[in-house]
Amino acid sequence: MPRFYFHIVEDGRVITDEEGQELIETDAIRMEAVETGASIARDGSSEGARAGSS
Amino acid sequence: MACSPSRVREAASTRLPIISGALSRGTIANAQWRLFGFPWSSESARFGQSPQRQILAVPRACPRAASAALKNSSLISPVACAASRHTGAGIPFEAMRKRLLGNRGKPLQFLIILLQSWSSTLTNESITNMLIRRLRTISALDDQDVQAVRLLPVVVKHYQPGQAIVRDGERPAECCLISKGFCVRSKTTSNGKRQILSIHIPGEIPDLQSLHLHVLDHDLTTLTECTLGFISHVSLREVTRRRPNVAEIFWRDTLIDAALFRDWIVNVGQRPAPSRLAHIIVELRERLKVIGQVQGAWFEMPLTQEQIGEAMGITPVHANRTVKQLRDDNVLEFRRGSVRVIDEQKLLELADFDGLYLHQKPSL
Repeated sequence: MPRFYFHIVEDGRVITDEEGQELIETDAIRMEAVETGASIARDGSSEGARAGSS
Repeated sequence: MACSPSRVREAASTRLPIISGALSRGTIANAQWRLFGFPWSSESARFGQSPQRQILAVPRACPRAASAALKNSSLISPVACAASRHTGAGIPFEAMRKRLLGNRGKPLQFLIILLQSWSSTLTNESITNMLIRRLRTISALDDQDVQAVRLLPVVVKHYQPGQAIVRDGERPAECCLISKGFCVRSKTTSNGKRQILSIHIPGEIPDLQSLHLHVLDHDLTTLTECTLGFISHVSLREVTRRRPNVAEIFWRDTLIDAALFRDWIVNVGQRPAPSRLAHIIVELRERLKVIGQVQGAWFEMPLTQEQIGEAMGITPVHANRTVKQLRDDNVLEFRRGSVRVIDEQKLLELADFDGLYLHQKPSL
């Protein structure tokens, strides 16, 4: 199975993925990227909410 | 480690010269016997105070040298045991003398029996050590309870990383006590996504619930190489009926288990990823402390990026980002399955940790 490494480029910073994941379907690869993006965004909003409320 | 008869025979033959030397040179009352800490802890009678009665001692009294040797082999050499101090419980002198005299004609057979009992007792000792240490921290365990737990028959098996111990839907007839290594409990959705529910460390019995909930409703898997002691439901039931205090302590232990799950629900449901990871790591450290596995700055956290994701309910890529974030913010340092706290205050702030739910004192 091919191994995919998802590197994140964020604010000019690159977060490299050294472990990678074995994925086979294009859909699964896309899902991983989309879900990660959504989950990072959710974190960002909860952190923002916390900072805003304090 | 289970000790096969052939191994005992092998050990008996290789060590025979030393032991038989002592046998032939003296009677039981001879001081020679003091060299050997023959355990016979299936008899719970205590030693008297007379020095003569200290000839036979259980390995409980063996110092560190003996337990270190034990880690590497199923049989401790008599030499290692000879270094031991002889205190603690053992069989009454008279009973032992009868056994010795009764077997004089068959020294080899007798030695095999001795070694067999010796080996299994020592193995049991090391397997149940962490469990007792942990139970003593969370509850009031008296000496007789400790003895009852120590004498539980344990079958020792070795597991590779990622191996299933018991699966969802199975009907186990035994409970698994972790002696060495890490395990996780998890559930997997129909589309193959796994949620890690808890991380388990030595001294814990992750599937103790199977004693009363007969079909397992989740998976129990090894995370690292593991040494596991299996205790049959029959003997666990017997001990809990005989010693209600042990039953209560096991009950309390499974309740603490549930408290842990409640905390994990809050963690996964309400905290942002860096806090989730910080929380899991602080929890793991507090639990490892109880069994004495946090020495120095580093402690074990043998989860891969993917497993961290599964424990936190995020994708492996997001888990990677979280790990990197904590590292770049100088909160934690990660290295090959271990972690070191760089900034304790930042970590605790982030983790939002109140250790009450671990109930690590009998009064809590």
